[in-house]
Amino acid sequence: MKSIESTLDDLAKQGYIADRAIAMSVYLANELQRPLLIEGPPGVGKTEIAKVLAKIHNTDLIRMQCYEGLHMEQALYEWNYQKQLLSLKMTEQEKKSLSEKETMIYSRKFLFERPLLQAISAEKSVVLLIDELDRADEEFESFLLELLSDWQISIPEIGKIEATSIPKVIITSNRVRELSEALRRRCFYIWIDYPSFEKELEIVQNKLPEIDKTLASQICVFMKELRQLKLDKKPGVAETLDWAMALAALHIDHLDTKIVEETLGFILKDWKDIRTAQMSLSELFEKTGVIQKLN
Amino acid sequence: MLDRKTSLSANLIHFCRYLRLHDFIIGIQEEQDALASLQMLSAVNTYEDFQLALRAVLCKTHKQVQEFSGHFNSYWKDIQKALDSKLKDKQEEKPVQKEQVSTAQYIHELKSWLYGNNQDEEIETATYSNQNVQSTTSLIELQARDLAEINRWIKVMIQRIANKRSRRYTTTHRKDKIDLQYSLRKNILQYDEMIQLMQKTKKKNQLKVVLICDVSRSMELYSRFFLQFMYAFQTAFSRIHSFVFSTELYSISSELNHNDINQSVEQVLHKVKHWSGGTRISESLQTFVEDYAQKHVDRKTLVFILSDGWDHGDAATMAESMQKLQRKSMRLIWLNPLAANPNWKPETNCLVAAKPYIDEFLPFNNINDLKSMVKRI
Repeated sequence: MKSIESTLDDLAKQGYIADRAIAMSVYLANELQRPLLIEGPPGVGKTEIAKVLAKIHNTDLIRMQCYEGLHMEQALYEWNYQKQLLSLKMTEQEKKSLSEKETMIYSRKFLFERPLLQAISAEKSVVLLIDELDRADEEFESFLLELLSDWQISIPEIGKIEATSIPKVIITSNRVRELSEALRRRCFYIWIDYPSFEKELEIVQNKLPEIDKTLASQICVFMKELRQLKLDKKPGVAETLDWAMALAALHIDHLDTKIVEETLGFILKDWKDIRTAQMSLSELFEKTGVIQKLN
Repeated sequence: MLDRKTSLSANLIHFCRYLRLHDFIIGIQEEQDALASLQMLSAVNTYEDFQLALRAVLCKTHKQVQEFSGHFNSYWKDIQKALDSKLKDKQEEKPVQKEQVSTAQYIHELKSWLYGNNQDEEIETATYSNQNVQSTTSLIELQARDLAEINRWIKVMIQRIANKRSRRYTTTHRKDKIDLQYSLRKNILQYDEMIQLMQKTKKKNQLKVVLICDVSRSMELYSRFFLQFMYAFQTAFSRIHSFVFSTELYSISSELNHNDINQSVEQVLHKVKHWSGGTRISESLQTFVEDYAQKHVDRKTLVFILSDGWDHGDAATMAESMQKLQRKSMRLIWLNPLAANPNWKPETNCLVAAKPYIDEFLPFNNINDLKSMVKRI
């Protein structure tokens, strides 16, 4: 990644259609070694950026899924008690002093490395994806601040472990709760919204090259109109791709009412939303130019 | 703020200061980032890239992203203009003075409702509030001794809110329940057998409170009490955010953070432009949901709306905002001073639309109402 153009190219090569704003943030975060905080509605490709980035840099992706009640131990490290006990048992006959034994069992060998420690102790800079941070507790978020600014972790028995390489950190959030300002300040921020029709069409054709062109554009128009409805959970690009894939697998080359009605479950995952969509289907069809079969 | 500098970096720092005035949180770190990011750009990059780069570095929330291009254009275009026409720095003195004049007015208004004018007002409201006198004083006729009582009940309420227990457990020293997992982990490190038993107890649920108070004309008689209520609440409880609205919504948390209630009230009146004006509940709530709910409301938040619901605004907007608010919050509680009247019915558009989304709809007209509300929470 040497400039925005090359970033755009790299992203496109890996099948990620990004606009210039996203490319700019990705490029700058990479150059200035800052974490990237990505927010936006579900299913617009927030997590995908991390995956693509790992591919571009040809490095590993370490993923940490956050959830309520996530502990530091699960994110950082844990001692491998069993291994420690076993090795003590095995070295019982050897005449080692207590302090020697202590240093033996409290070494890196006996450490279970959890994602964060893994990420900073990797030889080559990896991509660290901290997914849905808003689901974790606030305490965890504040703990993360230290790591993100100093790139070091202190383990009481060993001491400080400094990062051998600085990982490229991607944090995603669905805005279940607002993240703290302190964390925001340490990151570069991207907001990814639902794509425009052209961009969505490009994405569909990129991911499913064998799909019929009319079908693809019909799907995208339909999705665009569908998102205008008052829905609880608006379908994202992920849903569009699922739907397009399903329709392509059924060897369908254009949308009609029957098929849409039958496959509505692919795009809407909430029964209220399905009902709302069904109520206004004819209007949607009119706007999207779907052929209604006369029964 | 318009101050043209010749070097790019000086202009950039000024732009950062301009953004800071518009609620962007920008420190030295961000300014450094902005300068560093421009170094990454080359001559090939356009004006748009310049904007994108600054946006990538300086925006930290979705709202800021949306507002950024407006600020960017107004700042850099003005600089261009200044360059062309040698525009002099504008003095921003005048509007401030204007405000000061109107402040005096507001303070006068405050005094009139805080200390005097009581009798006229009682006559005015006799139509819809004073009929349920059963050894209870209506909030509008409160005496100093009642205030002590109110404070006591608010404290009880805060104790209840602060001591709610969560489902999750935390380690404790007092005997409650044995935490087997933690005991094992602790003992395996130090002993061969289980010697030390660790205890756990239910975590305290750190609840938050949001108060949204109607201060329109129809609520005038109660707004004094409500302001007192909010002040008392805020001084005793830290995780609280207070808002008032009549035609617009205002956040008054920082204003209420004074040691002296009179000072607080003065500042609130200075900030709120439409005290005792018309009512726009649905719009105000919509503003709240759009601008503040994300930050202040979560599943551990009690939301109180103090209003009589006298508004004929758009019912659909109202229903939508209420639904969102209810879904986001732990509980949505509507306190209505008029509801104490047995003849009163929720007939206004807004209230009818809001009703299905209210978890608790409670009358709030005298101290007994306050007590019963505290008991229900």
